[in-house]
Formats: sequence, structure tokens, C-alpha cells
Amino acid sequence: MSSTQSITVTPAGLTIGEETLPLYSGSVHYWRHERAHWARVLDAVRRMGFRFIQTYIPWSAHEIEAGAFDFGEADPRKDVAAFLQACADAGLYVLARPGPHINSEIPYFGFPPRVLNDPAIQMRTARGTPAVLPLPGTPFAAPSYACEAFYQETGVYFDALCPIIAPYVYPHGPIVAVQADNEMSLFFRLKCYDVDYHPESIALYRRWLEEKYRDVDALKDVYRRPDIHSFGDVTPPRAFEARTHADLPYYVDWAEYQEYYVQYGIVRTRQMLEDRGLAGVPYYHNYPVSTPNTPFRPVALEAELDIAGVDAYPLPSEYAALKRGVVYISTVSRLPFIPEFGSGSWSYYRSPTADEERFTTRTVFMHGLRAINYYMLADRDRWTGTPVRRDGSTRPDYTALYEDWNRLLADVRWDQLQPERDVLVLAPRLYERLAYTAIEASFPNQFLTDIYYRLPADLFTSENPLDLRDAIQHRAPAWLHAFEAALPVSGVPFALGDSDLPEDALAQYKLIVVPTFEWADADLLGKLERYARNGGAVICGPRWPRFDTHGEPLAVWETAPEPPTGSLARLDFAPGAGPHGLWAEDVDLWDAVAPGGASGTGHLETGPDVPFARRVLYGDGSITLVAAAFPRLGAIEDGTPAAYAGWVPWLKTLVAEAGIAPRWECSNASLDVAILSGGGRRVVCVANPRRDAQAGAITVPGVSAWRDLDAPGGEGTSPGSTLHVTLEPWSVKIWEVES
Amino acid sequence: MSTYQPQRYAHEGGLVAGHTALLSPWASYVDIEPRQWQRLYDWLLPPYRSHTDLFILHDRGRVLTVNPVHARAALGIPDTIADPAGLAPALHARWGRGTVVILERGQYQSWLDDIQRDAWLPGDDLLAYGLKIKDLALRYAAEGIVLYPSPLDAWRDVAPDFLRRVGRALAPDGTQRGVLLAVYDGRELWTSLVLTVRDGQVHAVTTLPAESMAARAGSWRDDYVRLIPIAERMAGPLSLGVFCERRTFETLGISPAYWPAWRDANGRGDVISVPAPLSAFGAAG
Repeated sequence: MSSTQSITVTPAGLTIGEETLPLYSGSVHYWRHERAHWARVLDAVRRMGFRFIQTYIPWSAHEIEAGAFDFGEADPRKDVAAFLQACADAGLYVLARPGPHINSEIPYFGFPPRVLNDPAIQMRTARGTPAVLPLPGTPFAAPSYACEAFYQETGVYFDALCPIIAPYVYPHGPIVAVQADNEMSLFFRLKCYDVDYHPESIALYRRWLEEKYRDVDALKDVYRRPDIHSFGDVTPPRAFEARTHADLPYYVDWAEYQEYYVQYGIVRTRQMLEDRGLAGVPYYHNYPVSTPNTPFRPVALEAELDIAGVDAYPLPSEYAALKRGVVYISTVSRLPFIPEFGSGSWSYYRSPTADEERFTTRTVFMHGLRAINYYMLADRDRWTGTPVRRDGSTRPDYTALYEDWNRLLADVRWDQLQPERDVLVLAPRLYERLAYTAIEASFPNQFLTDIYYRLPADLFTSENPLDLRDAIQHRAPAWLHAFEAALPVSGVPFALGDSDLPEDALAQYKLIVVPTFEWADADLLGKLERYARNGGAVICGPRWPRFDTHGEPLAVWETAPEPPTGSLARLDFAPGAGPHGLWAEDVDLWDAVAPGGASGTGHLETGPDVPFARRVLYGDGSITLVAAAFPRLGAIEDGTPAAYAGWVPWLKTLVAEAGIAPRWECSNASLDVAILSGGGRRVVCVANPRRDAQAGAITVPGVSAWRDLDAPGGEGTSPGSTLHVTLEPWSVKIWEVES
Repeated sequence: MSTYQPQRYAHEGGLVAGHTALLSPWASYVDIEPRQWQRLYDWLLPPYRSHTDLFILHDRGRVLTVNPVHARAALGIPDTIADPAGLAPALHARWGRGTVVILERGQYQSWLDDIQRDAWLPGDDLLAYGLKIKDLALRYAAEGIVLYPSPLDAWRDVAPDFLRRVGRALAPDGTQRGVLLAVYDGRELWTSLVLTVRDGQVHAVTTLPAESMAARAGSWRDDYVRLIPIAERMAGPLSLGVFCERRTFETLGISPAYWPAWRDANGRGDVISVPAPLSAFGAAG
């Protein structure tokens, strides 16, 4: 981050001068409106309660021919300087997005075709072909972000653009933040052995290896490759051919390099813009995926720029995935931000109704979002279903949605609210990288195809356990899912992070839930052991870690629970649930009588017997091994929280052992609950993520009154700690509660 | 095994840049009425769908992955596959839904290479590219890319230059014409599509405006003529206008033999077309 910034990022928004403003924004594309309509469009945005707009500045719209640009001289719609002044005149701050990648449904994603049609610039697949993106308009070949010729072309555009917009950077103008590139993701080709095998990417990979290992002998030892004499001898994997876990570092490094590649492109773009005068304001980026998956590393990215946001275009039926993404980003980011949140839709797809958008908008704020940009607020070419039409006229059902919601956010001071969470579910990055790595084939454009045809996330994931007891690439996600689904049903909200979280962030939680296997990340385990010794509680499983990624015995977590004495069995959590109900597989049944002789070991001492769990004391805290693996995700046909009902009583016991009391009780497992507090206020949100109406009783201990925030005035206030509710399909209700 | 030669395929007729393009890459999509668009897409892409397909990946017969995983035991999928084309219908009979997809890894990978190296040419439109992807997949259909039932069947005989012929039939070179699809549900215009076609290429896509959605005459058969001048003001003289009820549209739209089915429905009077019966467009289809 720049040390000379006049604008700072806080958990509540942007501090601009003396004022901290919640970052609630929406997108308008100046070059897609008649210039005569700009003022009317901006006025409509302002009247809905927004103080920020976001706009792209597309390379291909401004470049007339190589090296020649139109910034309004020929086409008045392209006068970006005049538009920025119009925003200032309307009292709107601007988030500028100069690319070079902008997507925006423009053919070639906003790059001039001449650039992408240059074979020297094209990204390469493992088999040397261009990486063709099958997009409406015209399929095109993606560029390589490791290619110097690509950056040289980009520099010519930035050289022309930056002198025009730099005078409008705050405090001289309305630009208060800049986005470095867009949805950097190898152009959605999120498969380990697909791209980028451009010669300059391979050179970058070798430089990265050298930075990581320093000494080629170290790499030789890890890879068990005596034939390697220099980093230049290393060639990247082009398919997953590991036979045992000892082979994995070579493959996992390729996944880690892809994380580096993505960040390299973002940081380099930001540097190019800063060097040309776009400095002194926060920079942000928008990952297209909002889970802890490779190649995205928001914590690492926020060490390089101000905000790592995530984009979301949810359908109501995608509640669980949307929640997971928001919980994740609200755990790891300094300002949880969705730089593109679906408002309307691209014209090759279905635009949401206002009721659907009301549900998804409330969902993201309910689960911890603090900043948002609605993409789009005004219709334009290739976009429909927004509150403002191209000419500035409005659609009342949509404008009411934003007017009402912005008013509620302001009235409640939502920017001061934080989710109440005691538990951190931690996704080890090593296992995420392994899941990314261990695939038997690629469906290269799965991310794009998924928009129209949903493919399973674990399609082609290898079933090979690699000489371990478990195929971790299947087991780790299933273990996480079992806890993530069942914790809220137990009245225990959770945060979701990954290995990149620093130790002071871990210390905020009373309990950390983390999947562990024999093959483990020693650095993460060390971090968790220190957390436990300082009084934290850890629940891990299904295996006790035994060796690090190099196959060396671990120097941490040395005090292990006693080995199992029972036979392997399958434990049904929901007897009679049928062949696709929930069960735990390969359960290590512990001797329920003898705790074992080693000092510091013990078994669960209170509550119902949990024969598959064993606790080990570490300093002031503990690590509990839950020696049960859950079915792989595809083995449960109904992966909703209700499907985990049989697991809930066991989980409640485990969580209680960690000293955590449920924050609520809800009689209907189909309803989801979140509680947020701050600034002297406390609100309870209840979501019905199902297609049919749901009713239930919600009890929040200590609460004396509930005030319905959708009811006018003081109407809708209910006394007591229990509230009986009926929620319409796909809806979220919000109450302010008093204790 | 497939014997096709991709380099030769790439230079067969119909595959040069722009030759097959029906939809201009720079076509505009503006002023689309959201309710009509939502209804159209709810039918085209049901938003609340779930996985129904079964995927098997094998390496020269040795099964590598099955998705969803529980299907392996539930369906008794063998560890080796000798006859994927024969196995797929048998599995589908037991699976009872979706499509059974059996991919041989090496051939599947070759297909991916083909569609990015040999079939793609800068300037293709997605429809043309999709037809080439389909053609190339069919060349691996015997063993490498086995789909049952195959969604490609409805498009099996559609040649790469099909789209070009459609475009030229709608608006020959030197002309601009409009195309209108209007679907009624009771007394309301349920959805519509208005295309501007110029020189054989679609240059604008939109819907009829919101204010035109309430029918003014009795039934759709009486009301549809009202829509023609509206569409013509937006897109030019209609080379094709098609009108029907929602139930007809939903039945015909998913027919594998969609074009003959539409033509027959036009003959029966379930579909009205202007200025000529759909059979007049037979050459294009």
C-alpha cells in the first residue's frame, strides 16, 4: 500500500478527508450512454442513495488504431474527462477501472483484437495451443500475463490514458480508488494443467522456483530429481502423474506458481498505473471466485494492495455458495467488498427479478459483507434488468429495492456491525492446492461453461490416495463441508479462513476447526499449536498428522492421542437415512474406557460419549481429533444443512467441550440465522434459502425484544427471547434486538 | 479410434474467418425488457437445475474417475471398460436421468487440442465455433467421447455453413430486415425477440418494449398483427415474424427435430408466420 495515500481503507469503508463513508457503489459505463443522458443517469444513481459509482475505461473503446486514441475528440461519449467532471458535479466519487482486462461483455474483453490475435502474446495451453475462450460475440485467445510484449502494449494505452484521468484523482477530482485489472484468473481457465505454458510464463515459473528454494540442491532433494542441475532444467508438469505423496511437491509447486502468476499480473498492473500518475488512492482487485481456492490468495494480495474483493452473480438457489464466499471474504479481508455484485445481468443470461435481488443483497450483508458495488446500476449494451434505463428513466420496482436498502443500511449503521462468530473453520491451503493439482483431466473452460451448464466441482478429481490412507483431495473438502453445514444448525456461526491468516487473526476465535491428514503443512500446524498453547481449542481430523510435505517427521504436534483400538467401521449419524444419507466413513473407534497413558492425553469427559474423538492438552488449550471422515461431497445427494441433522448432536458436544455456547436455537434447520453487532446495536438476520415458505421459532438467549426493521415506525416489535417467524421463499428478514 | 485429420478439417469449406458468422461479434443488445428476458431464460436455462449427468473418465479402458462418486457402487460400474458405446445405454437405463458421458482421456484431450488449434479462427462467432466443436466431438463419438443420449443428435446434420445460409435467407446482401418472435400467454405477450439482420448477419438483439405487452385485441390470433409495425420500426421490414402461444413454444422449442416440427405446427395453424409460411424457409434449414 502506498504510504502517501490521502484516502484510507477501514473496516467501515473509505476515509476521505475527514469523512468515513460506507462503500456502497454501482456501475455506470459512460461510453455506452448518449452523452446527453449522463446527467440524468447520474442523478438517478444519486437519488437511490449512492455516493460512489464505478466505471470501466476500456482500451478497445478508446483505441482507434494502434497507438491512436479517441478520448472524446471524435465521439463525445468517449470523453472520459468530461464524465469524471460530471460525476464530481453530481456529488459522486468514482472507482476507476482502467483494465487492461475489463470483460464487460465487450468482444475481446476490452483488449484491441490486434493485440489478442498476435500469437506471440497469446497464452498457451499445456499442449501449445492458444487458450480459446468460447464467449458470445466471438471466441478469442487469451493473452499471457507473463509476456513482456503484452505489457508493452498495455503501457502504450496507459501512457495515453493516465495523463487524462490523473488530474481527476482525489483531492483534485472524484477518483477515490482504482481497480488493478479485472477478475485475474488465468481468464477463468482454472485447471492446473491447462495454462499458462507461454515460454515467458515458464521462465517466470523458474524464477519463482529460484526465489522459493534459493539453492537448486534444495529443490533436487524435495523433488527427488538428481538430474536437475539448475532451475532452468525444471519443466512444469503438464498432467498429474504422481504415484505417491512423495511426488506431490513438484505438482503442488505448479499450483502455487499459478497463485503467484495471478498476483504478479495484478501487482504489475497497479505499478504501471501508479508510475503514470494514478497514485495516492487505494487500489483494489476483484477475484472472480470467493472461496479459499487456488489460484486466489486474498490475504497475500492485501499485503500488496488495499482490498482483495470477490465478485458474485448469484441466483437465489445458490445461497449456500454465496454465503460461503461472503463468510470467507469477511474473515480474511480488511474491508469485505464485492466489486461486482449482480444487479441485472449480461444479455446472454437471465436477469434477476427485484425480489431475487432483494434476497441475494440481504444475504451478503447478513453474512458479513461491508462494501458493495452493484454491477450494473444502469442498463447498457449487453446488460439488462437494472434500476436505470440507458436514457436515465427508471424501473420503479428496482429503484425501490436500492432506495429502501440503502436507507436501512444507513439507519442501522450497518457499517459498524460485525458478525458474531466464535469458531474459525480453516481451509489448509496445502489441501486446496492438492485438490487443484490432483486431477486426471481438465475441462478447461469449466468456469465459463458453468454459467449455462453446471458441472460438478470435483469432476475428474483423482481418486488415487497416493499411498496415504485417504484421497485427501476428496476427503478434505468433505470434512470442511460437514462442519460448515452443521455448525449453524447447532446455533454456532463460523468464520472461514485459510492458512494465510496471521496468528493474531487466529487468536480472535475460541475454536478452530481444521481438516488434517497424515501428510500436512508443518508451518500451519506450528501456528495452530502455538494458538492451542495460548489457550485456544482446535478440532482436527480425520487423521493425526504424521509427516510434512517432504516426508519428514513433524517437529510439532508431537503429543498425539492414543491410537485407535477398535476396528474400522462406518458410523451412521442418521440411521435409516437411506443409501445417500449422511454417514461418517472409516471411523476409528476409540477405546471408550482407557484414556491412554501418555501425559497430557485424555478423552472427552463430559456430555454424551463421542467414541471417535480424543482430546490432547497443549499448554492452556487443546487439540481434539475427530477420527471420522465424512462422505465425499458427491456421495451426498442432498448436501443441505438439514442433511447433517444426525451429525448435529455430536458436534454440539464437541463445541461445548471447547467452551462455546450456541448463540441461538432454531426449530427449523432449513432456516439460516446470523447475528451482527456493533456501535451499540445488535441485529438478527434470518434467511429462508428454500423455494417454499418456512416457519420456525428462533430463540436468542438474553434478548428481550425484537424490532422488525422492515416495519414502519415502531410497528412489528415482539417481546421475549423467542420469535416465531414465517418466511416467504427466498427471503431474509432482519430484526434489531434488545437485551 | 478416430482417424480424422484436424489440419485438413480446419481448411475444409465453411471454416474460414467470418464465413459462417450469423451473429456479428459487435451486435448490440440494448433496451431488453427484463420480464420477457427472464421468462425466455427460465425456459432456456432453468435456474434451479441440479446435476443429472453421469461422467466416467477412463484411460484406454481403465476407469479413473466417476462423478458423482456414489454412482460407481450404485450402478455397478466396472473398473475397466471395453465397449463404452455399448455400456452407456446400459448405464443410462440404470441411472435413469440426464446424459451418460464416457470419456477416454487421451482422445478427449485430443479433442480439446483440436478445438483450440485447428477449429478456432479469429473472427468466428460463437455459434459457428460451437458447430465446429460439435463436428469435432462427433469424430470421436465411437470410443473417445461417448454421450448417451447425446444432446448433439439434434444438431448432428447441421452443416458448418448452416448459419450463413440462415442469415442470407433472412436478409440477403445489401438489405436490412427484421425478425420477430412473439409468444403469448393468455392475454399477455409472454416473451419476444426482435433481431435486426443486415447483409446476412444479426446486428441487434432486443425485445418488444414493455408497453406493448398487454394484448389489446381478443386472442393472440387477433392481437399479433399489432406487433408487426412496432417491430418494423425497431428493426426494419420483417423478413420473418413468428407468433404462437407459450405452450406451443415450449413444446416445439425442445423438439430435437425443431425445424420440421415448427414448420408442421405452422401448417396446422398453431404457429402463425409472416410474410410467408415457414415452409418457404426450408432451403435455409
